[in-house]
Order: sequence, then C-alpha cells, then structure tokens
Amino acid sequence: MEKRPFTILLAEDEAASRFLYLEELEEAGFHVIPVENGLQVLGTLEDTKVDLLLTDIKMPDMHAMEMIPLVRAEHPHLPILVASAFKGMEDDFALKGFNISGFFVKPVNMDALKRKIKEIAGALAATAA
Amino acid sequence: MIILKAMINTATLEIPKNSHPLSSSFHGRFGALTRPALQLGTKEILILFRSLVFLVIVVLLFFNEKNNQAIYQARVEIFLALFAFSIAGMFFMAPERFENKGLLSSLFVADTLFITAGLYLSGIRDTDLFLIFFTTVFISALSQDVKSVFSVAIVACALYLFLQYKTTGEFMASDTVSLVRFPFLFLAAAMSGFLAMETKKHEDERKRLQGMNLILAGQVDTSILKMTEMNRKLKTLLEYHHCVLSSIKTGLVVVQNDGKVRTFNSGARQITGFIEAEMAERKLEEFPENLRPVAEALQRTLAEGKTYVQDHLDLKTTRNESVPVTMETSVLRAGNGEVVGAIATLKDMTLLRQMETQLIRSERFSALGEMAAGVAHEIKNPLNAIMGFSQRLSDKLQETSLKKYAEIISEEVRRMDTIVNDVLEYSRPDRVHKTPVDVHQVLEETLSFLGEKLEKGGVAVERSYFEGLPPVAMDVPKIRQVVLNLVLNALQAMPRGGKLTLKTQVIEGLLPDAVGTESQDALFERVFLQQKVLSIQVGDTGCGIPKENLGKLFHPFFTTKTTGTGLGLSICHKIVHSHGGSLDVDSEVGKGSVFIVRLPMEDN
Repeated sequence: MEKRPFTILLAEDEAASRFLYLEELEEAGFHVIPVENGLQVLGTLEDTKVDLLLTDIKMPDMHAMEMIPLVRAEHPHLPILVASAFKGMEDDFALKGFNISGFFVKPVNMDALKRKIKEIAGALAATAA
Repeated sequence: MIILKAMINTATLEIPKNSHPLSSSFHGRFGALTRPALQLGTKEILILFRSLVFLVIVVLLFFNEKNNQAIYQARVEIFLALFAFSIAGMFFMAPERFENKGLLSSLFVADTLFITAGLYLSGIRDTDLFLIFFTTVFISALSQDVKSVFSVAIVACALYLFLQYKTTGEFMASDTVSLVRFPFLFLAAAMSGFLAMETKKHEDERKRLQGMNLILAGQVDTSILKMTEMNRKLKTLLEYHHCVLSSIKTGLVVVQNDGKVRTFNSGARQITGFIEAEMAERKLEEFPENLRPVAEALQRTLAEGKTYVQDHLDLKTTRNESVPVTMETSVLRAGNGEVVGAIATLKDMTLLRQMETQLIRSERFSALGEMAAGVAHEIKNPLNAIMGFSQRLSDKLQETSLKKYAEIISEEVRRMDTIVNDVLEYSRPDRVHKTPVDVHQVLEETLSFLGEKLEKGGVAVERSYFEGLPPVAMDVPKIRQVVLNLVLNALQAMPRGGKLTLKTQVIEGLLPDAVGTESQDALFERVFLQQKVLSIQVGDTGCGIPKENLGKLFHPFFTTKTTGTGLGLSICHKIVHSHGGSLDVDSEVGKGSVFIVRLPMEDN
C-alpha cells in the first residue's frame, strides 16, 4: 500500500491567506485540503481522514470556538493548530481545555508553523511505526 | 436671766445670708447652714439657775449668822441632798423633755415649794429671803409662758404668807414692807413673763426664718444645679458645633453685618491655605488678594440679601496654586429673622473635575478602543498574507534589488503589525492577575534589563526606596511593562544623559475604588477611598513636557516622538487603572518630569 501523505485540513475564510498557507505547506510536502468555514470542516471530517487541522478563529457560518468542541467530540486526538489575529484568544483556548497543539498569531511566522507541523508529523510517524 | 438667754439666742440667731446665691449654695451644698457655736438650751439654763438657787440656799443655811438651831441640821442636809439629786437627774434627761410646759410648770412650783421648805426648815425668818422667790419667778419665765410665771408668783406669795403665819402666828405681818413686796413680785412676774413671751416670739421668728432660709437655700441649690447642668449642655453643644464646623470638608466663611470675619473653618483653611488666626476679625475689605472673589460675593450678599452661586471659580491658594471651587453665599439670619451677617461655602471641586476629565477620557477611550480593536483585526488578516507572500518573494527571488524590495515590504509590514498589536493591547479587556511581589525587585529587574542602554546613554540611576516595604499585590508582567515603558520614556527624554530617579513611598491617599474592567457605569459608581497607597516615582532630568501637552499625555496615539505609536503611556495608564491605581505626571520644561504610579496596597 502506498504511503498516504500527511494530510492537513486548512480552514481559512480569507482567500489570500488560504492561498499562502496552501503554497507554503504543499511546498513543504504536505497534502492540504483547503476549506472556508467551520461547517465545511465538519463536512470534510465526516468522509475524509486528516492528520491535522489548521484553523482560523473568526470565520463566517461557524466560529472556531463553536466548531472545535464538535470536532473534539468525534476526534479526541486530532492535532489542532490555531492561527488568529486575536492574541488574547490564546489564553481562552488554553483555559477551555480544548487540547490545542499550537497557537499562532497573525501575521504567522511560516517557518515556525512548518516546524511545528513537521514535529507533529514526526511524532505521528513514530507512533505508527 | 431670761434677758441674758434672749441675748445669747439673739446673738446666735441665724441671719439669712442668701444675698449671694453662690454663698448660699455653698452652705446648702454641704448641708451646713451655720449653727450657733454655743447655744444654751432650756435644759442647760435650768440646770445653771437651779444650781445657783442651790448655792444661795447653801450659803443662806450655813453662813447665816442667825443659823444656830442645830436641831434642823440633819434634816437640812437631807433636803439639800434631795435638791442636788434633782439637779443632777436633769443632766440625764433629754433636752426635748424641757420643752414640755406642764413639766416645766410643775418643776417651778416644786422648786418654789422646795425653797420655802428649805427656808422653813432652816428656821430663817429674814424678810430679805423673799428675794429668793424672785429668782424662782425669773427661772419659771424659762417656760416662756405667762401663765406658769404667774402661777409660780401666786404660789410664792401663798408660801410666803404661810411662812409668815408660821413665824408670827398671823397672815398679815405688822410690817407693811412685807406686804409691799407682793406687787413687786407680780410686777416682776409680769415683766419676766412679757420678756419671755417676746423672746419666744423672737425665737419662733428665728425658727421660721431659719426654715425659710433652708427652703430658699434648697431652691437656690436646685437652680444652681440646673444652671450647672445647662452650662454643661451648652458647653457640649458648643463643642459639638465646633467639631462639626472643623470636620466638614466644605470651607465656611462667615462675616458679621459689620463685615468682620466671625468663622473661618478648617475646611476653608484646607482649600485656601489661609489660617483662621489670620482671618479672624478681618474686615471684608482687608481680605487677601487671593480671597477677593469670596469677599466680593459676601459683600454683595450683605448688601442685597441674595444668594449667589459661582460654579466654576478658580481660587488661588497661599501657595499660588489654583483650586477649582464652587462658592455659594447666603444671608445669615438670627432666630428672629433679622439679618446678622453672610455665609460663604467653598466646595473643593478638584476631585469632581478629575472625575469629569476621567469620564470624558474613558468615554473617548472606550469608543476608540472598540473601533481600534475591530480595525486592527481586519488589518491583521491582510497583513498575514502580505507578510507571508513578501517573505516568499524574498526567498524565491534571486536578483538582489528585487529581493531587497520584498524585504522592505516585510519590514514595513512588521512595523504595521507592531502598531496594530499596540492598539489591540490597548483595547483588549483587562485581566489582572495579582500576586504579591517585592516591588523593588521588579524595579531592579527593569534596570538590569536596560543596564547597557543606561550606561551608553550616560544616565546615572538614583534610588530612593521605602525601607521595609511589604510585598504588594499586582499583575507582575503588566506592572513590569509599565515600569519599563516609563523608564524608556525617561531615557528618551535625556538623549544627552542625565539622572534617572526611582523612588518608592507608602502614603495615605485617595484612590478610586474600582478594579478590573472600567466601564462608564463603573466610573459613575466609583468611590474615592482614603487608603494606604504605594507610590512609584520615575523621574528624569530631561527636556520636560510643555504644560499644554500634559493633559494629552495619556491620550491614545498622542506622541511627540518621530517613532512610536503614541500608545505606550495610554497602555500604562490603563494598566495602572485596572489595578485600581492612578498614573500622574509632574513636569517642568527644561528641568525634567516625574511620573507617579499609585497602587492600592490591599491586605492580601
């Protein structure tokens, strides 16, 4: 069986930012599924297996604070990374106990983001092997 | 003898002395209405005179030349012993018994009989002995009753006649001299009876006066007690009024109709700086220049009888500082409605003005903050893409000049990001997590963090730390940010070097009783409390801040620097306020500035 590439579900309503993440992450060798809002995240997770969720917070249709608990209910161990313009939200996520793997403040330092994803991917590979 | 007694009693008569209420009160208070030092009662006088009679009889019996009839000797002695015994017995009788008229009368009659018996037994028939009956008549006057005196006189006459009969064998003696004696005896009885009655009258009057005197003294005493009580109440009331006047924060200046200052309370002193001693009795036209507005308003009120209110009055204190006050003058009326002066009240409006300013600032801040937060967030998203792509450009571009352009874009985006972050920081709701900390340690950490900068900038540090400062509860990272910001500002104010002063103090001060998020409503409900306050002062010897800029200093986006967002001090201000403290500045152009952080020292 061919080894499935590390798949990232990317939720970002801003087209420019979405495009930026897509370029950067695909270039780094990840498989990226871009979506625009929370509802699409939940829909994708229903029929697709992903290894990581990278999400914005403020999105139309569904805010990440609403979406993440729903995701967690189905996928308690899915690594989630949050990127937001609200620096203050970091504390909220930590306090709510959503088990977030990382928080990035916009503008996101792409190198740091990629380092973090690679770290998670490495850990995943180690568990699988 | 009676006259003698009357004289004694009159001499010792209590003369009413309550012409002066105090002296009477003095006597009354101690229950010691003056008693005669020596007052001979009926008992004593009776004993005295009966003893005299006894002596006379003894002398007559034993030293009379005619007394040579030895056969009577034994019986005479028995008789004398009985008489002496009756005198001695009187010693043991209560003085009250002698007030009894019946007893006295029978005693006198008995005495008369005694004397007669004595004379008869002694066998003396000398008519001169008749004189001794006068004595008994006089003594009987002691009863202070005419009837008993006359009865004694009658008995005496009867006995004398009996003696005569016994001696001569006939009632009417041949010598008329003896008969002439009777009217004399009655005359003496009448006179002594009359004198006795007079004495009795005097005595009664004396007793009545004495009683009245006692009543009067009692009344005066009650009055004095009432007066003392009223005096005490009045004193308490005066003290109370004085305390009220000196305790209220409102300044009070009262002038009389003649324009002279009657009251200048401590509130007025605290506001104006002038002291009561220098203002008392001063006339309106002699008021110090700084208090002219007060004098003028009082003058007008006195002249026109109207109330004046001046809302925005700036008074100059003795230190030439300006104090915003609200002054109200009104007419002072006596109980009967008559105008007797004018009152001016001065209310220090400093705190209220400060609150007004704060309210305006806070309104402006919160509206601005909300808008800024929204804008900042919207900017952040495009910044995210611009930054990312510019970095990608600079990574991928080989040509150096194009690469440089991409790097410039990245750099400028980073600067924009800093500004946006400051705005977000400023508009973010405050969460203060307080932990007790050694403030001096926080200050030292900041200094060592900036050590190199200080040294290079030629800035000397002077510390004036409060000794024994206890740990103070605060959000350490936030206060550290404030201190860092203030020290950095100080350094920037001294580009050619200077002196940085860090001072801590524990003072008693007024701070708004509001912690946490500062809403407009919260500001209205604020109570300014007198409490223990930690003051941290950061001073520099730099360029100073012009007066016109002092008010704007904490406004967001206000800056005089070419770099910077103009949010640094507003963030500091906000942090300090969210701690329930205050941030103030004192500055003089060319000399330097002092920023003062005041934080409440809570007991936790």
